[in-house]
Amino acid sequence: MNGRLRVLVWALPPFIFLGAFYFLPLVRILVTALGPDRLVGGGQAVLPDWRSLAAVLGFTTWQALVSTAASLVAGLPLAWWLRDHGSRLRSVARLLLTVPFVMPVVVTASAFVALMGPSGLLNRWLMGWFDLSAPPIQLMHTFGIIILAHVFYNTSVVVRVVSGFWSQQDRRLAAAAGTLGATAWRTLVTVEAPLVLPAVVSSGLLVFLFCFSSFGVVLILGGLRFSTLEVAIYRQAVSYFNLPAAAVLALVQLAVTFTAMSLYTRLQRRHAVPQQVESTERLADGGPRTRGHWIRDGLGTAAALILVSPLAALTVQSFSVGTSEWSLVNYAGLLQGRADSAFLASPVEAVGNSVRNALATMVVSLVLGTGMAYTLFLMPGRAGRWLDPVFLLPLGTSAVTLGLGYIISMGPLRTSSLLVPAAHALIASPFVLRVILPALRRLQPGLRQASAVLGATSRQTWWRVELPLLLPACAVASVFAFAVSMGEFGAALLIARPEHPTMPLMIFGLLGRPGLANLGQAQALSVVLMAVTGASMFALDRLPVAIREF
Amino acid sequence: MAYLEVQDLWKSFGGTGAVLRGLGFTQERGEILCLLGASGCGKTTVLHILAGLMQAESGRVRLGGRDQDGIPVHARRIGYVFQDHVLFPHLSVRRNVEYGLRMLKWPARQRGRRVHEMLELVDLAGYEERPVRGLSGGESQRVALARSLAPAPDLLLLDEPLSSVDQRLRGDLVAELRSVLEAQSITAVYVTHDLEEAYFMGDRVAFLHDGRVNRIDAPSALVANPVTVACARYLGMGNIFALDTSVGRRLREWAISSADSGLDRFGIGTTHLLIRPQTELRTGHRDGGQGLRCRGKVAALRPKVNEVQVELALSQPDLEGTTIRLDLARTGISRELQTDLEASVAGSAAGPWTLDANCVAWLTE
Repeated sequence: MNGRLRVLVWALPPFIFLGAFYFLPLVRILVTALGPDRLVGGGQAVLPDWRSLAAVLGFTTWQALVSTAASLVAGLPLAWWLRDHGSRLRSVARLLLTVPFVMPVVVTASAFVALMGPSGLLNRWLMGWFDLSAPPIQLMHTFGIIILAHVFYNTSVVVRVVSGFWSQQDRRLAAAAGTLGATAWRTLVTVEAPLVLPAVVSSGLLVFLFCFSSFGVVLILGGLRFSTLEVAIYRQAVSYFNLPAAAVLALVQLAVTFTAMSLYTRLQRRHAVPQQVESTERLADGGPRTRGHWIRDGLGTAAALILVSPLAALTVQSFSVGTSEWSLVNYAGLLQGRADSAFLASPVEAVGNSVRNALATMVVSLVLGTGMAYTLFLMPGRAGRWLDPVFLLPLGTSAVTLGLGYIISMGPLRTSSLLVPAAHALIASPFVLRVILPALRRLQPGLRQASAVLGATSRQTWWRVELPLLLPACAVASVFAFAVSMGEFGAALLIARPEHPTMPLMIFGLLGRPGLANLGQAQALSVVLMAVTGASMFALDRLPVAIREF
Repeated sequence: MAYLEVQDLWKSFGGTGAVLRGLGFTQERGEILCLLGASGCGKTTVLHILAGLMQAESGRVRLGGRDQDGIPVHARRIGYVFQDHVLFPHLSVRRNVEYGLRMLKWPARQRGRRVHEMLELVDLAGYEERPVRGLSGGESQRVALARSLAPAPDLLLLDEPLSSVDQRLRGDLVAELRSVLEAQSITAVYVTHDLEEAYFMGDRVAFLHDGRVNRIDAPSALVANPVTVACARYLGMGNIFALDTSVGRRLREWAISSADSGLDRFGIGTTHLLIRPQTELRTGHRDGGQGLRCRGKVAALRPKVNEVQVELALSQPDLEGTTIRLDLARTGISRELQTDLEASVAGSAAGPWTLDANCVAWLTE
């Protein structure tokens, strides 16, 4: 098989898939928003007027800016504290801080309800201690709780990006400043801070991007009062079935996220190797542990604990009913079939759907991601460099937009239960690509030649040499894809059939129903989802393959 | 009272024994002291403690009569030239050099003058506005030197400053560095593992071994008379024999048998005998000639660039089986010796030889 043909064989599946499940939906959105056939919905579609569009865009931007600023304020001191590896407390804190980032959005939402909702842990305690008749914390459906949830998520982004970058910084730079007469504070301001600035900016940009496309948090915690672009797309599409209006909003969303994405990647590239870290001997943390160290470690650990407290509250609340006694009633309720006639499926069925979807996602995204990886690997020079960002495009597209695209474009396929795994595979494929491609590039080229010289055809070489060596990377990628699919909310909300809900959809539904029984079950199901996600991430941590972070 | 007094420093990292075990030395104002030692012997740790970047577990550092304990790094007025330079990558050459002056709140005009003066000193005038990223290894090293000299520190510490510089340039840079330090009449502690660098840089050389200053002396004296076993080994001298073995005892008798064999330096605590490899070897036993007489067969003859290595297996009755290695200067080998050496390698006859009496030295543990 000659080289060109091999590239084609690898490139064909991802291209067909991307074409059908990514570019076609996007083009249809474009056509729906701008084209002549705006009257898809059957009647006269009401396009959003400029005023309300500006209002939604304004609020989306404003809450993203506030969330970004708050996450930076919360995250930077922690990043500063975690820049040195060292005490045991710090490694515990570092581990705690990675947890929020990997949690599915519905878990976060129900965790915040469990912590500060009307019947949440804090209110229960406060009412008990001070004999209050009404819950003192009334944060549900406020701007504040949206920002808090965003900070919960994104502080870990800031901490990871900045402290990772900071720990690469040669500690002797600070020592040099010290010997030249700079106090610790001036060293921070004149040397350390300017050198980590690129990481701060890119983490800020990333957080802005996440918050700008925030959907689940605003929808669940913000209630009807608040609407980001994502929520507006969802409401237009699902509540009013006004697809042209939704498409116009999706277009705005796409424009903003792509701009931010390209800014981010450009920044990343420019600051890829900013400092030399060749020195073998880093300056050891030689000083004795002073009281300052203990105070810092104590404060840092406390901050990390506060950050994960919603998850702890969620776990506690899932085991209690009404008053403060421990019980398994909520978990038992999950097994009892439909909780409410409003649901067309039971929680157990939802778990089954989610696992089925996740397994399908795993297979499809592995095939897609491996195809993409080989395409980039075999594609010579320029074309490869141009294709790389194309394969990453699904990352920059919000799940809700994707879901909307499917509703518009899939015609009779719209009711297929395969649509959810397809969307999830599309979302997971950039991650798979990012795990497999480095592994592929690390394979010694001599291995292929040695195998060929020994008489193996290129197919035999792939089967007997390359594939076994890529298996660890494939395992990591599979776990990743599995976790992504289990927790995905936005796309599933638009395209999953009501009779085939996934776990996140079930949680969303339960949270929206009145009654403590529903709330309890939502929290129990959230704990199950949290455990699955946590276990996958724990497994990832153990696997011996480096994951490139985004 | 000496300008810099370092007394009884102890320091350990984690569980792996103590790196410094009671290290101490003194240094006069304007003197350049080289700390010489194998990697991992704690040289850099000493500098870190002197600079205040690290705390010793016990011990005392006095600079200019002032105890340095409790003075934070930034208040110590110490210059530090790091291994591979550690220039601030986000600042220009000028901003790097004037960094210390800004900390001292010098006005801009004076800062500019001082930076210019310093860059001229290290031969980099006109480099002010360059970014430091593009500098070569040698240039970076000189900027680092200018940066640490600009605030006129009381003590300059240099941690293997030339280790990342091209080997060919190193010789020139050593000379250049030495003249800059002399021009500033600065007191400096210079850490290196390279014997040649230490030889040319230091007014005195302190050889570090086992967490202590093993030997401290002028460089030429150190090489001429290593005194300790560890120092002799570090200088690459073989032929070290412990006196508490039977071979050692017989070698001692043999060495004492010759009059002028450095016996006067044989003192209390002497534990080893060293036969310096670089010596003279004569053929035959001449009457009345001075030197150490021996018999032996040349086991191997290895030509090197400037010398010939001779492996001499002694065969006289009481020294049978002892082998010594000699590095004879190529130019010093007479035709007669050459012929005899070659004959000894070829035949089995053990010829009579005479070693220069000065080649014997006595070492302490």
